[in-house]
Amino acid sequence: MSNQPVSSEHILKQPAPSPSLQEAPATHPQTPTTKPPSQRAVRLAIDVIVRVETGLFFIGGLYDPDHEVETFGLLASGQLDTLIPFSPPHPALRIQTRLRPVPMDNASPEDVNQNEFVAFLTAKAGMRVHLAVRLRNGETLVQAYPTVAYSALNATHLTQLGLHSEDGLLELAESVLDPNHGFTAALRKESRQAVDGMPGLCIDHALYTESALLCLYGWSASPAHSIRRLFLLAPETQIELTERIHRLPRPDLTEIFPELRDGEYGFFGLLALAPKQLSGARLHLEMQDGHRTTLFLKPKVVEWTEFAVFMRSLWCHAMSDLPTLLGHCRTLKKSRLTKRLTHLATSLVETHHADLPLSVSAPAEHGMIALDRAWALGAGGCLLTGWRFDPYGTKPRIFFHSPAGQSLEITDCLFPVPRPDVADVHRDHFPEMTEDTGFLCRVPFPTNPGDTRLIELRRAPGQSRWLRLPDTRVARSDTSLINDILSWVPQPQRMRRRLYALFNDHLGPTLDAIEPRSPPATEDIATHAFGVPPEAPRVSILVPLYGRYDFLRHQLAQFADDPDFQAVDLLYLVDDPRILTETLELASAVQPLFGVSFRVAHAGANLGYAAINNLGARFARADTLLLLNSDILPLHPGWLATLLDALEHLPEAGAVAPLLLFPEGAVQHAGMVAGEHPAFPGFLFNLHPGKGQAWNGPETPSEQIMLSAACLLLRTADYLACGGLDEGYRVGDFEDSDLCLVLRQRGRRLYLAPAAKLCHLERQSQQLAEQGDRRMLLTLYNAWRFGDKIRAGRFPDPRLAMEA
Amino acid sequence: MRVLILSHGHPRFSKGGGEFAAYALYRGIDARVGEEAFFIGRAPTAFLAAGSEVMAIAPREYLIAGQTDAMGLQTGIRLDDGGDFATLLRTINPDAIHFHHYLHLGLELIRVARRLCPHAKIVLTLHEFMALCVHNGQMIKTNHSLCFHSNPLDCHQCFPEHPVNELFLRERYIKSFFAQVDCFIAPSHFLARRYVDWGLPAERLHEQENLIADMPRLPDRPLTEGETRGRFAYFGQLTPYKGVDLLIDAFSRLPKSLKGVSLDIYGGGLEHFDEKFRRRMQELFDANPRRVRWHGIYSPEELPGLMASIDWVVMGSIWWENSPLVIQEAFRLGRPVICPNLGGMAEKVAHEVSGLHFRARDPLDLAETVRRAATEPGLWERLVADLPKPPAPEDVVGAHLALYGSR
Repeated sequence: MSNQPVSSEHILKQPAPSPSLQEAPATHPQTPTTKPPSQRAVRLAIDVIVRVETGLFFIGGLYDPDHEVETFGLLASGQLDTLIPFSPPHPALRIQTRLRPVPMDNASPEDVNQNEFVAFLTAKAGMRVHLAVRLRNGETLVQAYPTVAYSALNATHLTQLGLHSEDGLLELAESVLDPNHGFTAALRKESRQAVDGMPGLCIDHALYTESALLCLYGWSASPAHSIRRLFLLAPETQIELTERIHRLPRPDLTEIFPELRDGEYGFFGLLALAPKQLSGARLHLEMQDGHRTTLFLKPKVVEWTEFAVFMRSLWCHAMSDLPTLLGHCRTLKKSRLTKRLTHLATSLVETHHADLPLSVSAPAEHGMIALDRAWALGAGGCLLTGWRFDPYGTKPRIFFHSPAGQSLEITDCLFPVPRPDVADVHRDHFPEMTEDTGFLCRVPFPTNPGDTRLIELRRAPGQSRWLRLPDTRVARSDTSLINDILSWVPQPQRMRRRLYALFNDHLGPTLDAIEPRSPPATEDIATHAFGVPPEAPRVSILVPLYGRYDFLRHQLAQFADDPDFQAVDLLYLVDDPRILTETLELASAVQPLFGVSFRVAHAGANLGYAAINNLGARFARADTLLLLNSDILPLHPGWLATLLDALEHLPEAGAVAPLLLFPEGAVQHAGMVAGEHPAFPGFLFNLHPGKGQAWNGPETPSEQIMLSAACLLLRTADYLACGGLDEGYRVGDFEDSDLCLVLRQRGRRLYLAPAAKLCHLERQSQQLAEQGDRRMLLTLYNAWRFGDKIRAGRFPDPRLAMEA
Repeated sequence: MRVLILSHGHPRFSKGGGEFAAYALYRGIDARVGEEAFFIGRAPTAFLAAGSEVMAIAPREYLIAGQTDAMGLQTGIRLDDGGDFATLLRTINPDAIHFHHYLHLGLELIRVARRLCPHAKIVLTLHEFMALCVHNGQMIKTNHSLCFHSNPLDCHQCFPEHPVNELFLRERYIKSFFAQVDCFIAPSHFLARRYVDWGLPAERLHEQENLIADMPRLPDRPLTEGETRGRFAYFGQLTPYKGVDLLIDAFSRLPKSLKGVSLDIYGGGLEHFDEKFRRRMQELFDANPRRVRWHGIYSPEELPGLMASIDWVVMGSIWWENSPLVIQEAFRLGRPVICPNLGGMAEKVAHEVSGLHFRARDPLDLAETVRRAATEPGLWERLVADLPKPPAPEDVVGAHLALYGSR
């Protein structure tokens, strides 16, 4: 017998009610009935019939509250008259019977008796046997039951049989069969699971604090999988505990009960319970086979300190429950308990964090999961990448924890992404592994670099594995960080149709949270003047240079003979430190040649399209700005005057753009609209109506929904009032659309002035999907951001008609 | 009038028709009473003193640094007022600045000249089609077929390594400098038309033959008893575009029975070309020792003597040509020309009048033309009688001075 601390006071073991006679199919047509079955109390059932070579084992029960039964026994091969009675036993029959209480619905267990019987009938192979009762009124009830060959016994049968073996089945089998017979061997093996004298349910610790927190720690003699439910039954409440307790291995038990091996017999639970819920409470354990065990619960009331010490010893289970408890506590406003729990949770996490793994590979218990990166983005939350695979469908729930005890369930938030590399590695073991094992997940939980965050895999009922987050370097440069994150979006081309959801739910808000670098301080910006600057420039032209600096030569060659350039404040903005030296050398070489004065400004860094223009605007001397790409060449002199005139005279003009043509003469830009792209549903893109067509429009100005900033004239004051170009876009895609719509939001109108014609050497246009993955993803981010601002009502929807 | 003539090479170091024509013009103008001419020839940097971009080699003759490629046409010399070129311009202070070509010199010199000498007349003589064609200005495609139209999109087909946009930039860049030129000179109508098609304003384009040195007409080559007019000669560079290989091929096809027909080849320049072309030429020479002789390079002074010993000048160019100097020289010395029916050659040589055309690039047709030329009685005499007279040098000088003077 156990020398374990056992606080159970009352142990009951009860077989489940067997299938009732009434519900069983009637198998004998001649069965006489005088009383409708529903009115009879007698019930007769066989749990299982096991067929061996020499006969049949029966296990079953007879329920006869009204003592209606005269005799019961077996009918062999349907011979109704030949009843082989159980009592007194027929010579062919070996039988053990006993009474045991049976709980019935609406009946107290003590009221009801049932004869359970375990019997062996020597019989020929193939003989069909029925169980029969003869009632005192002369009726005979007969029930057939399918037999199972011992060789076909499955785990359920064996569990059932194991439950009976202590009642003599094993003894019976050993007495009639060879000791090496497979059936006896199987029974012996199974009976180890339920040793005589072992308690069915045992509570080692039941601690209760004055903060109304109950901790249960104990074990059951049945492995987790054979338990149907566990509940707490108090006079006024019934609390389901099955999902709230943690199953855990109890190696300490194995020393005493060698049978309790290789399974999670232990349990742990942390429950917030009011004292009145505990008074007179019983713990009920119900097995899959219907057996029940009940014991009274008398927790020990302890100080918090003692309670906390105990929690620490079971930290990995405690951590799973603390967030739930904290959530519960918040609603109860139990500030003291909250504080204690928070402190406990924090200290548990900090103690154990470093030892936690980055991956779990437990296919049968929690599946497999690995975390590759976790970018901590401050208020923007945390972006996780990794992969998971759950070959046996264990479906653990996944939680994201902060040490303060807050947690978020992210089970359904993981965005699946292709990870062919993972599939390649694991295909030998899991041929069924698909490529969609990767995931990306934005957890909207403020997380700063260095913050402790944990991932919990919680598998019903309550078994958890814990992971820590990878220590992912968060690049200081916004561009590097974004590139780093986007490089972890695997195979974006394969999930083009899902990319919008990926951005909307995960990447978009994540990247939005990354602050663009702050503008360089004025003292960090160098400007170099070439030639004699004009005294009162009419317009400041901002031309960013990136990569190619020879465009400067080509533009100056065209500007040189245009008289309008006598009054132009021309600013070349070097946004590429790699070309600075060459640009300055070229500038000093060709300025005297072309005679156009200009300045070169740079901040010693690559700031991006929006930021470099915003920087240029700070240095602009004129009250009108022309944003100009370096790959634009005028096709005739006088274009600038045409644009200036349009801005000055057209009603409410906020910005004016010229007609831009390709070198071949086709239209490159004649105003922009927004629309979708069939390959990337959900995103909004800039569209250039008429692009590639011959220009057939009038020479007179026309109002437009949006204009390209490849060449865009506007007032400096308007530019500044709009906040310049939005530096939150990355790599120049939507800044112009954005600026145009902000201008419209401010009541300005946008005009195309086609009388001014310039050539735009737009980069050899690649389809979006043909760009590199990273470039494509950046564009999609910009597109998402643009759409998001429209949805947020920051400016008019470009898809809607303009107001007259 | 002070006239500055710039050439893409100095004929002392670079023996091309363009350089000779530019130099002859300089000498012609300078010889006139009251006119003063200067010559600047582009030379490799190695010819110049270290740190100098200009070097005087004679009282009125200079070398200038520069080396452009066919794509860029950009100079590397200083363009500011402190540069050697600017200093030279201020020193010479010309009334007219005549660029004989822009290749090697660099387009930018035109604008520097305009800036420093705002009142000078700027004249540009066009040679081949360098502005129109990255393929060495030949207007033959890189697959050797003839090109009829210059356009960035078409040029990109020949040069996939140059994007359309770059070719467009090149054209726009060239035109930005051509816009500074007061007057263009095209030595042939054919060349002029191509440039006008490309966008040069026709009203600023003058057709004017280059200056051809005055040389007395040679007597007919005396024939021995029974001999026919069977001595043919090629004068010029040995380049793949000149079709010398085609000439040899044609002569190798002549029937053995045709006696007394031979081809003399005068010229060099093979060393500028790749091994493959040189080997092919050598194989052709080796395979045809009886009819073909290669004499190597010659100087202009030798030309009358060399032409005295032949009957026909023959050309094989596979490109259009502009106004080949050798045609004018042959006419002046009294020799008819056999040439392809292409471009500037077909324009200058009238078929059956001052020479014979053959179907360009066709060695068989050339062989037949040669056979006819060598055998048809009276043909040579008829053509020689009708040879045009190239303009007298003093007339060419006068025409140029007239262009310089008018604004």
